[in-house]
Amino acid sequence: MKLPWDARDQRKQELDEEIQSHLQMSAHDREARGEPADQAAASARRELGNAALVREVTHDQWRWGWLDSLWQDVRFAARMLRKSPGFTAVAVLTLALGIGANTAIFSAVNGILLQRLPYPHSEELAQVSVTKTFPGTGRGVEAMVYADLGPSNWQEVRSQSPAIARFAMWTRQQFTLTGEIAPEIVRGAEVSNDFFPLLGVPPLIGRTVTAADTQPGQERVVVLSYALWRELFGGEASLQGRKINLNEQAYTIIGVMPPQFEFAMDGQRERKGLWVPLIELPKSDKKSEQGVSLLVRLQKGVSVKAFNAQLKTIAPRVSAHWGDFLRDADLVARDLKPEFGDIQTGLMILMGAVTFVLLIACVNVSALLLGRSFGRQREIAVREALGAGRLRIIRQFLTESILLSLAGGCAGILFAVWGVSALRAIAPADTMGVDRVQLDARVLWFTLGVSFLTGIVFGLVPALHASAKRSGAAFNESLTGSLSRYQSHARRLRGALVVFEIALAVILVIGATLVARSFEKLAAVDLGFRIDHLLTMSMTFSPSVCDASKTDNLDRCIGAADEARRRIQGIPGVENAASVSGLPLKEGPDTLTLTVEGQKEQLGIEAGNLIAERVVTPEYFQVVGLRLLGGRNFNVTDTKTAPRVAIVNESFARRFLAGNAIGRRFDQGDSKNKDGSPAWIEVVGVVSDSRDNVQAGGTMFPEYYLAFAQSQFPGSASVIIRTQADPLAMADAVRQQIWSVDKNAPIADVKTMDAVLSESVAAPRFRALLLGAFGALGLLLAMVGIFGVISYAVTQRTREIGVRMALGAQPRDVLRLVLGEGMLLAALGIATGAAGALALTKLLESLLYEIKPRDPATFIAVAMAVAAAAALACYIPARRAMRVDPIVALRYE
Amino acid sequence: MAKRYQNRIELLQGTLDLLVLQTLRWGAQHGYGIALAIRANSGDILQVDTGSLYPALHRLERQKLIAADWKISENKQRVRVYRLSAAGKKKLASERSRWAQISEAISGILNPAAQENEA
Repeated sequence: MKLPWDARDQRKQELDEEIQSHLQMSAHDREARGEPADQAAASARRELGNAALVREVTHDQWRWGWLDSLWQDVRFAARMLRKSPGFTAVAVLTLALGIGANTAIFSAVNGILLQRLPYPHSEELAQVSVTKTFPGTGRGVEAMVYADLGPSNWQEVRSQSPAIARFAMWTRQQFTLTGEIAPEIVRGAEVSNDFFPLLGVPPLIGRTVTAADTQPGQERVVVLSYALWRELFGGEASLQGRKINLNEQAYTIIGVMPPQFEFAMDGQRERKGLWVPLIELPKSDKKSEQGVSLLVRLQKGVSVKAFNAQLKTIAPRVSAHWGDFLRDADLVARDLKPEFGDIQTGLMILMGAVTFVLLIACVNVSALLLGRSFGRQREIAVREALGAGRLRIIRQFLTESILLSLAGGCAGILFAVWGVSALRAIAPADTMGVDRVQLDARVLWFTLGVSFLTGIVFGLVPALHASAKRSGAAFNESLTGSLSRYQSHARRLRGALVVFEIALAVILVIGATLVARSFEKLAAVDLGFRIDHLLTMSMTFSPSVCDASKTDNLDRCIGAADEARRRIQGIPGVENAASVSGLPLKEGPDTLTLTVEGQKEQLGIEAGNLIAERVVTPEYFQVVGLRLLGGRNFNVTDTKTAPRVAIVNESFARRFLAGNAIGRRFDQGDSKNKDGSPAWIEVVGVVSDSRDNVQAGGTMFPEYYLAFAQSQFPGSASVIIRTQADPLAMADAVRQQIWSVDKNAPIADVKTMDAVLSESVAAPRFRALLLGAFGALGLLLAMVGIFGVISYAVTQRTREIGVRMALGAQPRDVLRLVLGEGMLLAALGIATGAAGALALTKLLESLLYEIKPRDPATFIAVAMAVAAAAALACYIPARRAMRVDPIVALRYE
Repeated sequence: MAKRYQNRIELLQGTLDLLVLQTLRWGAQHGYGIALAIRANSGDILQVDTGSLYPALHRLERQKLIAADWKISENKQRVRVYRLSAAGKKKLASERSRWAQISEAISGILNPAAQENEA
């Protein structure tokens, strides 16, 4: 293939010939008019003007003109970079660090935040719920309760809303999967027959749920997720007559969904899920009006916002049937995007941090280029004399810097490959979508874009500087090599760049320090209980042992739980074991409502307080190490038929019962006695506080404990075991004991309490780690920057220093001179950075724990550390300056 | 300098193109000949700058309004000869009528009395 620029050589020759023939004809005519031959040729040339220019302007008319000159620029730039390999290597490495860090963090943003929902026209999808908002809870954050309605209420909403095109109901469900594998809990949903068509995703194999499947008394059928199908059947294509056991019932598999379909799987990494028909119960059945979630597809062109406006007018018309609690609540539609909360804030902060690192890298390379452009003045002056315009010179410089940054980008991708695998390894295990974090096409486009932008950002200042209009005198200066005025301009510019990059580093390091100190405080927080030597797990009894849906089964259920616990307690090496409804650090406070006997006002969410509730066996307090401060523990007399009792924590007693708790009674408002009187629960004991949620801003929530034996045990609970030696070594023995009571009981989340704690602070640790790394990187780059600028200044001032020393200056004076210059820049940078940090750290507030975004100690410590780092970076060139030999220096020029 | 030339090309572009096309209407011609013809036909008033002429020729060639061939001149010299293409002829016609409109309009503005007299 002939490249465009190869064909060009021939055309250039032709143009030369054409111009040549023009000259000859012109000269010929002049001779014919009587001019002497030599004069005729000269005046013909004069008339033509600058032949080179005519040629060049004509070249520009050819189609490939701009591309050709670009290619020329690129070749020239490559040659210039090859000529100074040291500079090129340092610049490319610096940029690669900055671009690599950006690429790695963007790949996380891309994989986690920017993923599209895997449904066609997902912008038309919305979930609708009844939303009740409570102003100011304990932390001043408003709490929202999203509630579901029964099918007939939803039908009413639908009939009032013309914006709804399709409508499906579903409800989250957990299933116990048994068979040849160890019993396992699988997440999924019961779905109406409109569910799959509404989402618009066809099954990979078989069919989805039809209207006939949702009628009572039909064969039980199930649709599997891709991952579950692969695990159970190894991806076998024929499903003919295949069945699985769910909750000890046989379900026929009717279909398999494609891999990307993960509705109601809550982002779990294994992506194991299943969907069964939501049975349409007859109106006579009490359960027919149980709450279900609503999923809608809107009419084309209706936005979720417009739909919400419509719902606002519908709510008052239909809310009368919703029950007392929800009477004045709103109908709210939300799109299907997952809510990321802290992950999003964290990633955005990290993205900001790597942007700072990249900016510092840019400033460094800018300063290097400025130093180089000094050596290139002659080249530029010659180019200008030959007719290159300012734009042409800027373009040449920018081509060079973009070439550098593209090289940096390529090397940066290598860093990013390593960075992404590191990210995936240290990211908190429960981070949604972390397995999608990878260098895909979008990330690579991002890298390319960033590289281009970077090249322009760091190349512009040197390019503008190098091409700045100079007077004739300056032009002569630049040819003779004495460049004082130009030079001092460059020096000021480099000084400004150093101030800027130190300011950036200061902001970065202050942010990193705040987050790190906040994590330190978080990790050192007194939880109120002993977490060592604790093994935890969750367990669910199968229906044959404990069918929680039948109330008369409660005794059997509690009996089975007691039996399992007794057997666990009997394992050698187990000190004690307790059952609890929700593990500490995992189950936080809730939106509950209480009324204390003799008090009018309701406590809890209606009053803006979150309260925690736990159902425990008597061993619990001893197992986790909570102290009984007054009253008594639960005991064998607290049975189902005995009066209901509770134990409250200190915070509860102090805040709600004025410190006088024993013997007081409260009502949960959820059940009444048969005669309609409140079902009072009597407080029989007070225990010490413990923290439920490490990250919840340090508040101890009011909490009360109910007796396991008096509870409506739902067949599923956590077991918490104190062991003498390594807790995980006991795990198998504990499993065997649980399975000896119920062979089909799924046991999940077998973890030590240390691991639970570590997971609960995994996100802050991750952020602290990454921000710390970026802070260190930024500071290091800034140090390299100040080192480079001061070294360069020392080299330029060698002669001046020599003169000073010849005139009697001591090495110490020279040291002061050089350090003084560096430290002045550092001080300006630190002051600017501190001011910037004052403005910016506010953004970190939601990630900080027990430390103010403007914590003075942090600011002062960072300022001093950066000053020390800057002094270190200046010291090396300063020492070199001290050793200048006056005689050598004076001979220098 | 480069900039000055380019500015002049832009200023003259439409006009110069029109003059070149018009000149080639009478037959194929080389660059030097075109310059001579424009000068002669304008009574030595329009001096075509070589720095504008060749870029203009190559631009018109790229736009396929004219075509070029190498020929041997009367002086046994290899010269590049331009001729009008079909597209060039069409372009010339439309440019000519546009030029007529413009010059009529401009002279109307410069010479309002003449119009009033006619009216």
